[in-house]
Amino acid sequence: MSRRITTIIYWSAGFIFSCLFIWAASAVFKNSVSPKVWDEAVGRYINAPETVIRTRAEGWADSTSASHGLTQAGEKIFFSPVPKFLYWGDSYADGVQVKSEQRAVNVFNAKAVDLGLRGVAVADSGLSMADFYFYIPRYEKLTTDVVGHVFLLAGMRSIIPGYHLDCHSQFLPDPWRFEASECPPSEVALEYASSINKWHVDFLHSIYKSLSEYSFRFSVGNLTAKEPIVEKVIPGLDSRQLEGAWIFMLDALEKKTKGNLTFVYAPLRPHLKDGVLVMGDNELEKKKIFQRLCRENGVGFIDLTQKFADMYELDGKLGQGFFNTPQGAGHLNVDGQALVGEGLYEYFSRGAQ
Amino acid sequence: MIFYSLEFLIFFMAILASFYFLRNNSSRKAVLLAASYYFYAYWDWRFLSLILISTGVDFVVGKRMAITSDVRQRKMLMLVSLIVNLGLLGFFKYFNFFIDSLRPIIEGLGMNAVTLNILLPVGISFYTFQTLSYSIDIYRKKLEPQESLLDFALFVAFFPQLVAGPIVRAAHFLPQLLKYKPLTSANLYMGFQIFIYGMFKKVFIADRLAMFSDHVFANAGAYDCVTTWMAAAAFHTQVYFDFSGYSDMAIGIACILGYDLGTNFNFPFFSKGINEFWQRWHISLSTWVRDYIYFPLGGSKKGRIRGYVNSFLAMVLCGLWHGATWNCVLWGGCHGIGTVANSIWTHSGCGGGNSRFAKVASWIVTTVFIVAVTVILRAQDMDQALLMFRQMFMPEAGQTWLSPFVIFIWLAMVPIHWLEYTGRWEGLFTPVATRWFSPAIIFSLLWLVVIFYPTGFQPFFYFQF
Repeated sequence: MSRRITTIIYWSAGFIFSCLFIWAASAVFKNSVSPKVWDEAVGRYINAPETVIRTRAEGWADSTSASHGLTQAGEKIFFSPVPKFLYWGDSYADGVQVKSEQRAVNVFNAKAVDLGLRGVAVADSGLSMADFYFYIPRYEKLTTDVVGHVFLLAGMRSIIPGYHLDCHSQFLPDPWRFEASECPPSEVALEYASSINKWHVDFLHSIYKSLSEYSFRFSVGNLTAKEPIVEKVIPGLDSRQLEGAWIFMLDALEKKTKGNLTFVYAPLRPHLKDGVLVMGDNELEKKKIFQRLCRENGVGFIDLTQKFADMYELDGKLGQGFFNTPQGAGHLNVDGQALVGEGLYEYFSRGAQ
Repeated sequence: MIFYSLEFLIFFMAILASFYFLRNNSSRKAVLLAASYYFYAYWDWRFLSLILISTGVDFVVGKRMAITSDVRQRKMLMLVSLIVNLGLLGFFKYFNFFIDSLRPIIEGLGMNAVTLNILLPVGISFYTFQTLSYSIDIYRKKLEPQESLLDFALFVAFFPQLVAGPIVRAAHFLPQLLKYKPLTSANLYMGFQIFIYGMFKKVFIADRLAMFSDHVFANAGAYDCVTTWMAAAAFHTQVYFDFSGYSDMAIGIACILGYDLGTNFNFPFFSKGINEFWQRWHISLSTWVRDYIYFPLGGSKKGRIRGYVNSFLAMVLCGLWHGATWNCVLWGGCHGIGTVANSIWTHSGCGGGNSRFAKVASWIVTTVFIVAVTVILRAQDMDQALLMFRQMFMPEAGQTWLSPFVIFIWLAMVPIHWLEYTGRWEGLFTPVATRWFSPAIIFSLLWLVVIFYPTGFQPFFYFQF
C-alpha cells in the first residue's frame, strides 16, 4: 500500500473514531436537548413524553418526561384517585439537577405516606404565577381529587408584576391582569430535537447552535469605543402597589380553583457573595407584606427562611450549589430540595392534626 | 483576534491561500506583514502606531550602531532605543502604578497625583522585549543589523507571537526570513497537531479550571483549607495550560507557515527546584531576563553573594514585567527568594544527592512553594491574598468544593508526564503515517474543544502582560 493511501486511511479512520468518541462523551457529559411538543389538553408546549432529559452542567441527573409536562413519577399519582396537590414552580421546583426521588415533591411523597396526600410537580424553567393562573383549570380538568395547589417561590420575583420571560404569560398593571402568552419553540426543538435526543447526537446540535448564534467581525477594533451595557430597569413598585397587585393575584387564583392555595417560600439564602455568606433576606419587606396578605385571605404560606439558615448554622450546608458548580449559588441542591419537601410535610402534618 | 475564533480561521485560510499562489519570498513576507498589522489592528488600530514607532526606531538605531565604531555614539544610540522602548512600555503599563505608589510623596510636595485613563496595548511587553533584545545584541556586537526593513518589521509584528509571545530573538528568527519557505504537508501536519493540542489546553482545560479558581478567589476566605489549596493549585495549573496553550498555538501556526518560534514550556511540573522551574517555565522570558538583566548586573561572576542579589533583582523585575501591581512585584520577589534559597541549598551540598527520596522531597517543596506564591499573582489585591493564605495555613471552617474536573485534569496529567519521563512523549508527534492513532487523537481533541466550549469568554491570562 502506498504511503498516501495509508495516510488517507489513517485520517479517515481517525475522524470516524473521533466522531464515535465525541458521541459517547457528549452522551455522558453534556446536557441533552429537550424535544418539545404541543399539548392541546393543557394548552402549552411540554417536553415530549417518554424522553430522557440529561442534566450535567449543574448537578447530575436524568429525568424522564411524561404526559402533560409531568414527570413519570408524577404522572402515576396525577391519574390515580388519591387526594393530591399540584406543586407549581419554575426550574427551582422542576429540580432537574437532582435525581427524581430527591426532588422536593418526591421527598414529601416518600414521607407523607401516613397523610394520605400526594404531590405532583407541574414545573418548568421560566414558568411564573401568570402561567399557573391559566394552567390550573386545564390541569384540574384532567384529573380528580386535587385538593389544593402549592406554589414554590424561589425568591419573590415570579410574583412581582412586570416579571417577564419571552413566550410566558405576564402579570401586568393598569389594571392588574394576567395576559396569556405562548409561542412555539424553535424549529429545531420541534422538528429535530426528538431525533437528536433519541440518538444522543446532542453534539451536532451544539455545533448548529454555536454557528447560528455566531456573529462575525472583520473590521479593525477600537477598544474604548465599546458601548456600556445598559440594563433594562423595570420601575420598582411601592408597597401599596405591591399590596394591590397581590390582593388581585390571590383573588384571581382563588376564583380559578376550589382547592386550597399554599405558597412555600425558599429564600435562596444563605448565599455566597464576595467571600461572605449573606444570611439576611433581601426581600424581607416584600415577603412580610405577601405573608400578611396570605394570612388575611386564608392562603397558606410556608416560610423556610429560618430552616435554610439553621441548616447552615447546624450542619454547614447550603441549599444551593452542586459538586460541579459554585457553592451557595444556582438551583436548589439535594439539601435545599429536601428542606422544601420536609417543610411541606410539616405543614400538611399540622393541617392533618 | 483570538486564535480559536472563526474569524481567525478565515483569516489564516486566506493567508495560506495567498501562500499557495505566491511563490516569491518577498511577496509572501509582505503578505505576512500586512496580515500581522491587520491582526493587531483587529484589537485596536490606534496602538499599531506604537509598533510602528518601535520598529522604526530600532531599525534605524541598529543600522546606525553598525556603521559607527565610536563607543560614545553607540551608547547614545542604545540609550535612544532604551528610552523609546522602555518609555512607551513605562507610560502605557507603569505610569499609573508609579503615580499611585508615589502618591503620598507627590501630594506631600503639594502637587496633584493625577493618574491617566490609559488602556494597556495588547502584547506591548512582548514586542518591546523583542525589539530591545535586537538593539542590545547589535550593541554587544553579537548580531548584525537587519538590512531589510520588511524583514525587521515582520520580526517585530509576526502575528502568531505578537500579542502573547513567545519572545523570539532576532538571531533566531531573522535568518529564517531569508529563505523561501514552501508549504509542506509535514509542516502542515505538525503545525496543525501542535495548534490543536494548544487549543485544547487553552479552551478545554484552562478555561474550565478558571471557572473553579475564579470563584474560589472571588470568595476568598469562604472556603475551607483543602478547597483553598485546591483553588491555588488549580490556578497554577490553569496558567500553565492557558499560556503554554497559547504558545503551542503560536508555535503551531508559525510551523504551518514554515517558521520556528522555539520552545516556551518544557514540562514545568517536573521541577525539583525554583531554578529548574524557571528553566522549564516561560523559557523565552526567563532566558531574556537572564541574558539582558541578570548577566548585565554581573551574574554570579562578582562573587556568590552578589550573584544572589542579582538573581533576586532579576526576579523582582520579572515580576514587575508580569503586571504593574505590588502583587506582581511581591510575587517576583518571592521567586527571587526561592531562587536564592535554591542556589544556597545546592551550593551547601545539603540536597541529599540523587536519591529518590531527595528528588521527591525537592519536588514537593518546590511545587508547594510555587502554588502558594501563585496566590499573590492571582489575587486582586493583598487583602484577597491574605484571606487565601489564612485559609491555607491557619484555616477556619468554610465551604468545601472539590471540583471533579480539577481532580480529573490532575489525574490525566500523570500519564502525560509519565510519557515524558519515559521519553515517549515526543513519539506521539511523529509523522502520521507511522502512528495510526495520531489523527484520532487530534480530531478527538478538536471535537472536545468545539463541543465543550465553555460559555463566557476567558481572555488569555498573559494578554494582560
